[in-house]
Amino acid sequence: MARLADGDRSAFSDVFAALWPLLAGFARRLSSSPEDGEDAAQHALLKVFEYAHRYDPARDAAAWALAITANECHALRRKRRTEPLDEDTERRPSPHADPETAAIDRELLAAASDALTSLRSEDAATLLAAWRGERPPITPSAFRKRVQRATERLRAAWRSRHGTS
Amino acid sequence: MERRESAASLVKRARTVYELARLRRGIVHAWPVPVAAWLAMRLGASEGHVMVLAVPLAVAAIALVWKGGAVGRGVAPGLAAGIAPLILPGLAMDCAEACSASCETWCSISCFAGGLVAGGVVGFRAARFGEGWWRFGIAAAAIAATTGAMGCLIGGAIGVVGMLAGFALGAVPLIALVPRKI
Repeated sequence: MARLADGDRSAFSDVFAALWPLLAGFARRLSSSPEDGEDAAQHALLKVFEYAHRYDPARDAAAWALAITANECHALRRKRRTEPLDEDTERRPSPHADPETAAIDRELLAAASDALTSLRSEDAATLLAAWRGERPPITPSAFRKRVQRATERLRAAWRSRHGTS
Repeated sequence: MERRESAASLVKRARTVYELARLRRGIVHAWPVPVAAWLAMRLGASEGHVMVLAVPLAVAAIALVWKGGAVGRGVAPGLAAGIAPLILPGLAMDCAEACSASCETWCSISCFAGGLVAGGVVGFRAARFGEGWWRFGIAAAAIAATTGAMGCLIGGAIGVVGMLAGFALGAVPLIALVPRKI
């Protein structure tokens, strides 16, 4: 890593071969799904090479790269939590529905997603956490109250767009 | 990001990211070049002459930092060492005008003195550099001499030759005498 930081391109393959399996395994363990783990590992690997010139040879290279990977995993988890709706979910029709019902489902999902994006990010995150059955590190009663408030705001947003609850 | 990207394409992307980051670093490290060019013009060097040196100097600084290693590390000391021959002739000319002395003589002396200082700095740093000292020295000397030449152009060819002579006189003894860092 120190050689690469100094511009020695001949170290590139060695660094890649040493880091990729390490970062991929670490990211898989830190992420909620193998796909997210691979995404985070790829982001992290590219960051390691992007910031290679900033690497301090006095530090342990693996620890430095793993710290970057942990940050990437954390960022990806945060992104997933605040994402209004998964793009795949939006496009995927209901497996048992006829084409007309599937089209209605898609429209409803798009409308719900639109209303959800108009909410504050904390409200959207609370609702998504509730729908996914996740429990944030707060007391259950506080979480219930947050969900209730976010649902009221979502209803208001829906009403202002579609004139009905 | 596309999932399950093949290892080969990931290597390629990592390499591109790495090279672009080094190039950005080179551009950032070349910031003193436009400042030096502006300073040389402010001190009396002609715009055309300064540009002829400043543009290749900027390109060389970016390329050397991008390349890295000993030559890359020679850029910053080279630019710093070049400050003396860059500004001394301009200051000396002002002084010559003030005391009605011969401009040419003052300019040649100041270019020589500036070169001596720059050579001393580069020679000392090269001698203490350790492995690859000669690559570091050549890169730093080229950068310092070009930076200094922008200022010494006020005195014409004699100024530049005087600066180079001073540079050699300042650098060679230090390279020969200062103990090497192993």
